[in-house]
Amino acid sequence: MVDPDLQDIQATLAGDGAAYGRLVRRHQEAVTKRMWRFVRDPQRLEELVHDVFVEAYVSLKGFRGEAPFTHWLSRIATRVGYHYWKKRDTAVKDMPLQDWDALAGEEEASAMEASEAAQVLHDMLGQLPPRDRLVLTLMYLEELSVAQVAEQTGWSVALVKVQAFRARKKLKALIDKANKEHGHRAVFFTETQP
Amino acid sequence: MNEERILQVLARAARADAPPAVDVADRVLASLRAARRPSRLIVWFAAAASAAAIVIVVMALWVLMNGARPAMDPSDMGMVGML
Repeated sequence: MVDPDLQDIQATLAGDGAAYGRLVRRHQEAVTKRMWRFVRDPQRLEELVHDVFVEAYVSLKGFRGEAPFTHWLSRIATRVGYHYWKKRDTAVKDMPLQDWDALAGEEEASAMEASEAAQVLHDMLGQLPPRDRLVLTLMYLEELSVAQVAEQTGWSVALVKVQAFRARKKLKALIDKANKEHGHRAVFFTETQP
Repeated sequence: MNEERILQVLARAARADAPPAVDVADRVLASLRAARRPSRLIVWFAAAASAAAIVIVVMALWVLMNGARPAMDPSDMGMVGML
């Protein structure tokens, strides 16, 4: 059976705009999910998803079909999201106090609503530089292995490991600093260990 | 590591967070159509520039064949017999 993605890619390259529309409709949900890791504003989310598909169209001639289209597309999505972080100083300068309060203990953190947890994680990782933020987002939120992160980012496996180590170290420093500055109880950060 | 644990706990909860529904297909196609328009303009501009270049070359050839003569052509100066 012929892969519908490949069919539509060939038709698109032959000038069939409707075929590309079908590709977009087939994959936009997955791309939206990925881009939701990079931005929490629905309007900007739509812009980013749009940008991913425009960039994918421009690069479509380079798709060799060796890997599934979704893998190729998610690499583009990661690149677009990462550039978004780099381009627009999206770093959260200070995490809102209510976020720290929500993290007072593992039980509180575990009991959070999905959207609340996503927002807190977004704010927390947003205090890190884009490279650190990217590696932790892909490893923890997307549950990608080191090899998969390397594939998505185009970095070497060794670089991903080093980047993840540094990112966690920076995150720990941020948490310690916040604990001191806010006099936060932060049991979860300092005491609780499974 | 504590920071690792918090990442794990938050990420586990956050994974269930569903993004808002987005449909960008029409907008993407419209952007691509709009992006193609300037390239057509470039094609027209290139065609016009090529046509102008051809006219200039033809004119230059015509001038060369009919109007221009070497300034020191001996036959024009009646010196053929002297050489």
